[in-house]
This record gives sequence, C-alpha cells and structure tokens, in this order.
Amino acid sequence: MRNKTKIYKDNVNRELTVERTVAIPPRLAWEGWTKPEHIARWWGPKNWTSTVYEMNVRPNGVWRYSLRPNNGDGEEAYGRAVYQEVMEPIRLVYIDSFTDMNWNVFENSDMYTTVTFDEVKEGCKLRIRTRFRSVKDLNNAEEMGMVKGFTDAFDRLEEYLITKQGGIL
Amino acid sequence: MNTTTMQLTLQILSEPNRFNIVELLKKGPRSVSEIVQALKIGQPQVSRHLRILGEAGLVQSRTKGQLRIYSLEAQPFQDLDAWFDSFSILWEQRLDNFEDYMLEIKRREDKLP
Repeated sequence: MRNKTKIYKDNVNRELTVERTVAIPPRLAWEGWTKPEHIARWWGPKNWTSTVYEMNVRPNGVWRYSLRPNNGDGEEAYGRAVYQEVMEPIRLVYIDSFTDMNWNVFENSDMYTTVTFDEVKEGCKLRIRTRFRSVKDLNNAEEMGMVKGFTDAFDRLEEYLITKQGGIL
Repeated sequence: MNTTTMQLTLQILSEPNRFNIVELLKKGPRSVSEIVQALKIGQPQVSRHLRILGEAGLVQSRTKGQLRIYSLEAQPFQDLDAWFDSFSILWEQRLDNFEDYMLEIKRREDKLP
C-alpha cells in the first residue's frame, strides 16, 4: 500500500474519513464513481471480482453489487446502496448496506457515506466520509440533534487539523 | 467483530451519558456514586445506563464491601479499534485501485484526437 490515503477518525469513533488526491480532473473522478463499467473495475479489493447488478445514480436510485474473491477462498458479499444526493460533479451521498444473497438488508449495517470531489491544483481531492449508524436513527428528532453534534465535532476537528498542519490538510 | 455488532456497540455508545460513563471508566474502575458525582445526573439514570452497558457486554462490575465497582470490558473496544483499522485498510486498497485504474483511463482519453 502506498500510504497516500489520509485517514481521520472522529472523537467518538462514529465517523471515518479517508482522503486521497488523484491526478485526474473531478469530472473524470465522478465518472469513475458513477458508471457501472468503471466502478466494477476498482470497487473490490485486488483479486476480487466486483459485479454490478443495478446502478441508478439519482436521488433514491439503487446500486446493487457483489464482491467475490477470485480464488474462491471466501464468501461472496452483497451490497445495496441507495443514493441520497447526487450533485454532479461535486458531491455524492448514499447509504450503503450489506445484504444477503437475496438482497435483504442486514439490520444495522448502514453506512451513511458522503463523497466529495474537490478540484485542486494536482487534480481531484476525493474525500469519503462514512458515518456508522442505522438509518432509523436519523429519523429520530433527538438523534438529529446528535447528528448535528457529530458534524459540528467533525468540523472542529477539521479546523484543528488545518491549523495544526499550516493550512494543508 | 462484524459490522452489525460494531454498529450496535456504536449505537449504545452514542447516547451522551453512556459515552461519558465510558470516557470516565477509561481512566479506571469507579463506584456508582463516583459515576453519579462525575456525570451530575441522578442515580436511577446512571444505574439504567450501567445496566444497558452491562447487557451489551461493555462494562463489568464487582462488589467491594458495600460498593459496586464498574470497569470497562477491554475486548469490545479492542474489537472496535480493529474493525475501524480493517475498514481503513479496505479504503486504502480501494483508492489505490481507483487511482491505478482512473490514471489508465485518463491516459487513453489523452491519446484520443
């Protein structure tokens, strides 16, 4: 592994953020994330095959995929994601869940994921923020206050990191 | 620890008082009254949260004379850290793949007239 990915855990371990800058324009990075013929080529780990069954990149559109190890040494894993926000080519938000082979979602496996595509001098800075919480929590009014609290905490953490590293994140 | 177990652990820890109890117990075992004093909430509430944390396997307790002393179970928190590490590694690999693949796509695009 190249150690080019920056990883941030938030204070209460409910969010994980990974960042990577790639020498391609944001438009192309967006295509890499939203075209089935592309995503199947990089979504799975090396030596795994990723299959896309469905991919409708629009709010409430569904993306279904599986991941299978090439050498057969391991179980096939199934994922079902529902897009929440699709703001080409800047932000993509989806809720990704694990499912069984019949596409029944495993309870509490939801990962609320926000992907942003920032144009930078070197190309595109990708930031993937994953929030580990089940969807039904988000509908609870009390939880909404806490969600905002976590977002605020993340913003403060980000500010701290920017200051600490002299403006370079 | 699989994703579901981790999610449940995180869900239980997301309640602010339980989060604060865990932060306190990270410093060492505490009696119920010490926890009540530190959190500044009523004992019935503290007891309820400790019961939930106990049922989730996140804390254990023993009696010391007339006191009940609570401490953290190490394993679930180690599991949580390990899960986050493996998730981070997955993303590192994935983004390595993304970079390799997309740079190749860009090279092909650049060659076209």
